[in-house]
Formats: sequence, C-alpha cells, structure tokens
Amino acid sequence: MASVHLDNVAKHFGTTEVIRQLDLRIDSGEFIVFVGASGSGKSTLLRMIAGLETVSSGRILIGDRDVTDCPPAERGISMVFQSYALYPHMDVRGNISFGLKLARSSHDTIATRVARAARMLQIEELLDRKPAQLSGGQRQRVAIARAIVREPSVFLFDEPLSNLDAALRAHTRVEIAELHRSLGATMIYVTHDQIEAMSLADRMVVLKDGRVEQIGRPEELYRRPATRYVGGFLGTPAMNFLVPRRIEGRVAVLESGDEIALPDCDTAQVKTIGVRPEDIQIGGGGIAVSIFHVEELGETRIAHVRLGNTHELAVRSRSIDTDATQTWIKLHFPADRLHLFDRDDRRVAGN
Amino acid sequence: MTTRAGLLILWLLLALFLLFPFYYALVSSFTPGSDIFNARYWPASPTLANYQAVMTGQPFGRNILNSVLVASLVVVLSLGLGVLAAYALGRVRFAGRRLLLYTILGVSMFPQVAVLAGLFEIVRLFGLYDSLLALVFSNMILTLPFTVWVLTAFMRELPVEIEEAAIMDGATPWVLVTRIFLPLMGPAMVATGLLAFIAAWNEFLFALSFTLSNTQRTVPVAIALITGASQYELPWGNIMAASAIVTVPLIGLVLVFQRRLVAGLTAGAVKG
Repeated sequence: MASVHLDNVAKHFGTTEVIRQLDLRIDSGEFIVFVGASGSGKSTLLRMIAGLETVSSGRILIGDRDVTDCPPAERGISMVFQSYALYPHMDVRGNISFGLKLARSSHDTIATRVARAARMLQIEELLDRKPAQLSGGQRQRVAIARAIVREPSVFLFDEPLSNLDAALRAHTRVEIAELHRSLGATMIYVTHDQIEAMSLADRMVVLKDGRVEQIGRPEELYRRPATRYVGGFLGTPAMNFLVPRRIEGRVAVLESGDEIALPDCDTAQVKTIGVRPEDIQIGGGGIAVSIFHVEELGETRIAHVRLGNTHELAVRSRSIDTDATQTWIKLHFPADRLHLFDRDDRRVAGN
Repeated sequence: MTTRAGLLILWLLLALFLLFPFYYALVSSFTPGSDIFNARYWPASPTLANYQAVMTGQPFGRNILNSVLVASLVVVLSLGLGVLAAYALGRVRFAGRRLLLYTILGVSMFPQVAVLAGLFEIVRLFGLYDSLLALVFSNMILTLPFTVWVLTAFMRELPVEIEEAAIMDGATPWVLVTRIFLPLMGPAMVATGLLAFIAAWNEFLFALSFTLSNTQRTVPVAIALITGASQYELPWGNIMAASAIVTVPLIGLVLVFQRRLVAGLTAGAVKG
C-alpha cells in the first residue's frame, strides 16, 4: 500500500498535448477510476504511472519515493492489461510466476505466493493449462493473479473488463471490488464505462482532452457535476440539456416561449440548463410536450418527448403508458433539481 | 465421384511431374557405367560403384562438410541479425524506418551477376578469397532480405501488450528477446531458417567465383566440376550419385520441420 502523487505532470507527443498540467493526490488504499471518452488521455496517464510512457514535465511519487525516472519493474506496481497480455507459450503457473522468477525469489516463496494467488482467484485447477485453452473470464483471472503475486503497493487496471460479455463484466466488477477490500491496496483503474467507474470508485477523475473535468466521489459527481461535460457523461439516458432564448430574472424563457423557474443563484450567467431524466416530474401544471417514443426497461420506462421544435428530452418514469406515443403530457422541472451551466460550460456559482 | 477421380488424376500427374526427375536421377545413380544410356525405369543390376567413385574421385566428403558449415553459419547469422533487425524495424519508431525496410527488400532485386564483381572486390579486400567465410558473407545477401522481412512482419503481429507485461514483470531487453520473443517467433524462425539453409546449400555462382581449391568448394560447384576420364565424357552416373547425396539432407530437414514450417508460413494469417 502506498499513496500516489502526480505532481503537475504533463505529456506531449511533439506539439500535441496529451496530458496538460495535472496534479492529483491518491491516498493509500484508495480506489481511483480515470474515466473519459477515447482520446481523453486516461490510458496515457495510467501508462505514465506504470512507467511505460515517459513524463514530459512534472514528477510522479509513489509513497514518498520519486519514481519519475524509475523503470516500471522498480516502481512497486502491477498492471492488468485490456487484452490480458498473457504469455502464450507459458502455462498459467509460468505466467503467474514469471515476474517472481525474474526477481530471483526463492522456490518456496514462488510456490506459496502462486498457490495463494491461485486460491484467491479460484484458478487452482487451471495452473497447468496454456492461455489458449482458457476462456476470456479465466484469462482475466490469470492476468489478475499475475498482478497480485508480486504483492505491489499499487495496482493499475487498463480497461480490464472491456473484452468480457455483459453478464461476466458485472460479475467480475463485484469481484474486483472484493479484491480491493481484501488486499487493501491502492488501485488505479481506467475505463470508458461510466457504470463501471461509478460502481468501483472511491473517487473518480473525469478526463477530457487531457484535462481534469472533475474529481470526486461518484455520487458527488452525479449530483453536482462541475461541468456540462461531466453532467452529460454520467447517467443513462444522459442528462437533458436545454438552451434558453433568454433569462428574465429567475425565469428562463425557451425558444417555444415556455418558461422554467430557476433556483436562487447568479442566473444571469446561465447558458445551458441540465436536468436528469429521472428528475423531471409528469403532470400538474407545466410545459406541454409530445411523446414520440416510449422505451420499456422493465423496472421503469423512458419517454422520448419533443419540446417545441428545438429540444428532444428523455423522461424516466414508471407511470408513462407504453401506448402513450403521439399523445401530449405536461412536464414540470423542479428548480432544486436543475443543473445550470455558464458560457464556458462550468457550473454556475451558487447552483 | 467424377470430380474426385479427376482430382486424384491431377494430383498423380503433379506428383509425377515433381518427383520423376528426382526418381530418374536416383535410378541412374545406381546404374553402372555405360548402361546408363539405355533408358530404364528400374536399375537392372544396381550397384554402389558410382557412389564410391564420387567419394574417391574428389574430396566430396570435405565438400559436403563445407556446404554444411556454410549453410549452417548463414542460417545462424541470418536469424540472429534478422531477429535484432526485426525488433528494431517492427517495434522501434525512428525516422526512415520505411525507407530502410524497402532498401533491404531492394537488395534482393538485383541479380547475383550484377553484384558479383563488386562483391569480388570486397572479398579480396578482406582477404577472404578462396575461403568459406567469403561464401558465408556473400550468401547473406540472398538470405538476409527475406529473413528480415518475414521476421519483421511476424514481430508486428505480436501484441505490444505482451512485451509491456514482460517489462512490468521486470524483463531486461535480453530476457525479453530470449524468453518472450524467441519462443513466440519459433515457427517463423524455423520457416525462414529452413529457406535460408536451402538457399545457401544450393548457391552456385558465388561458390564458383569465390573459391578456387578443391578443398574449399561447396557441393553444387563440386558436382558441376566432376569430370570424366576425358573431356569428351560426362560421368552421368557419378553426377547423379552426388546429386542424390546432397538432396537427401534437404528432404530430411523439410520432413523433420514440416509441421512447424506450415505453422510458420501461415503465421499471422489467423489470430490465435
């Protein structure tokens, strides 16, 4: 276990900036998830911590040690790769013990550690098989066992679940969370999947174009997104965004002429109004919209509605009838559930 | 049914076309003296006289040893240099990589005759004339381009993540090459190594030009220079016996490595 400190690190390839001036302190034992779309720099950042990518400026500290110029093997870290990256010509035992053999550990140490890792991941009966004889889920376990066996102070995961099918992904997600609890190690995890990020993270780091959009607990990011991007990135269906024609005091006037009451804050700054599908209330007095499609999701339903000519919104509610297509309903936007963003897509102060 | 029979006939014709010359050479090698000029498909009175004559008429044992030495050394050097070059060309990004790759390929476009004079000067410069090292050196012109190309293509197919996983595990470049790349590239190395061996084993022009004495000759030259009692007589029996002797090791090698050869030649075609 160790803390990790990214001290103003930056990375550029030629003139292309991949990571811009990033400062992040990760506590010992914390589960941090880097999340973002492809090209956001999340994998590059992880590879910089791993030592597979050099740092253009700034320092990386693991524990109290400056590892910026250390080779990967001397940083006390292990990494699980997206494609598992098992050695095809070695059996499972060989794969797991390769790192220990290179570190010249004694036979006893290797045997006990391999046995413990294999027991933990329930792959004891697979030890003599080759990777080609394993299923995707089994390869995943071997890859994790290979990471565990070196007893690192920091684990790095690079989209480890993206090659698994949906059911196995959900299952393995829980197992990784359990693993984190039982090992108590610091884990840094990269994914583009917001559900994976939300369910695993102690803290999430949302990246966009090599810049941090927001850092915080998953619930905090979901409840109070600091930027429009974070608001739209988290949650399915995504947050609805309305761009009002003008703001009159604490009322936003839409293109259609409909009015939405805003919460008490610096409303003059507002450029975009965000509202989550589950926060919109149906019925009573409100804005009339036409339903053009209803999705049945079992535990709930999603209505896709048109507001005037300019906006399409998603509304999540159990009470929508599936045959309500082409009918009109009235929507109410509770002021305390609105997310207000300014011209620079930042959350308006006081909101 | 008819397509099957047709296919079978086609196969037989093909086999006949490919194997008959070798078979006839084999039959001739067991046929004594001038009996060889009567066309036969089976030796009437098989004899080993031709083989004895080949082995005693010139230092043929020595010639075979020379060929083995040259071909083996060419294979080892080609594969060694090929793997190192493949790592650089397949993995390391540097300016002019593509140009270098095409230059290497370009080398194999020149006919041997075109480079013969230039090579001769180099061989003389290094004082290698009439030595086996001259042949090793010059044969590499034939084997290195395709060795480098095949191995580079194969190296590119290997996932980078495997290499990175090994680096994370603490592998030094040497460990990386010996414990990760070599085992993974085994099939490709067998295939290219075998092709390099065959190329070096059969090479004639360089061997003829760069050696002079009987004891430094390789097998193809030795066979070509086998002479009869007079200049008007070509000892076909001896030549056929010699040909048989030098063909057998190649067939043996191919049979031994057959399965790996196919695996290597089709490697990268299907992802495992």
